[in-house]
Amino acid sequence: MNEKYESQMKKGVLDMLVLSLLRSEAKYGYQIIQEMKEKSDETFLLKDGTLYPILYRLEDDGLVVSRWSGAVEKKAPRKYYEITEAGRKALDEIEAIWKRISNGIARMMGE
Amino acid sequence: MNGKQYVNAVAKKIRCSGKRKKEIKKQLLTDIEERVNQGEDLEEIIAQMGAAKEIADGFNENITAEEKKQYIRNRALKVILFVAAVLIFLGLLVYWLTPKITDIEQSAFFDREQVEAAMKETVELFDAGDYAALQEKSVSKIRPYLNAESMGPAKGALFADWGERKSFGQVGIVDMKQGNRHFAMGEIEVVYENIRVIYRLTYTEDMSLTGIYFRGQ
Repeated sequence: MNEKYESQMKKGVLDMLVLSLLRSEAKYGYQIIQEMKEKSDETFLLKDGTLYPILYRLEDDGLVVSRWSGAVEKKAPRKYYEITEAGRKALDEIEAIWKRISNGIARMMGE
Repeated sequence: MNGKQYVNAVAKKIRCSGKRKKEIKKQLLTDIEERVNQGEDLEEIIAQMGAAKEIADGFNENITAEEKKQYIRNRALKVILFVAAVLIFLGLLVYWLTPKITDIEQSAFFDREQVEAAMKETVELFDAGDYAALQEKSVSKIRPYLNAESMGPAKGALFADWGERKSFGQVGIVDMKQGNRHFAMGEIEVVYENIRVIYRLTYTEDMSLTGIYFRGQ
């Protein structure tokens, strides 16, 4: 039961967290998974099957753009995702929503 | 299972467009390679990523409705194209195998007089019971049936005593094309003392007997 609620709650914020990770610089898939794991103290353990559809959706919505890097010293090329201006604007809006919701929740739960 | 096999197994279960699937495969392989380069063991990586079905389910759950629609459209289109291709193939096969008849006079493969002579010769050998000679002039697949044991009862079933052959009657011959082979198929009326018999005889392009059938009239 707990897992179901946890999964649902996490799902709702993943787009925001991915955009947030891309705010500072372009990143590739595995890097996003790793950073998400470290920065969230292992609260968000994303799998490829969860992350990539999010990235594809963000890209389809024009919030991120992607480019393949060339192979460097026998290393495979990587696909980097970069936040767009529209993505930054959307992130600001999502963050504002998130703050409003979490404040509302905190007030309610603190009653 | 190596990384490529694993990624292929995952991709096979993902319901999205071929283009997207190609992209997913490339990215998953890149991630696996990245982790291998960082010193992780391939088996461990695969175990952490999860079973092929599990990871594919993850993709399928998160793929957009538009992407899913596209996948269903593509699948349906593929099925329709496959069925259409099969039907066209079957149609062509049936057309190819269906015998096509042309007048013997128009045939580039047979001469009417030659075929008629061969038909009369076949009847004569048949009447004489010279099955050895008939076999020599036949294709191998019908030779086992050209003998007194097979033909005697067949003749008897039509009429017990045909009597002596009196004359040949009307002859009709056509060029029959089946597949890429041509046959001369003719019917000849033969009058015996006690019965009138119609023979249907078929010859290959080299004038070997390939079919013999007779009925009373």
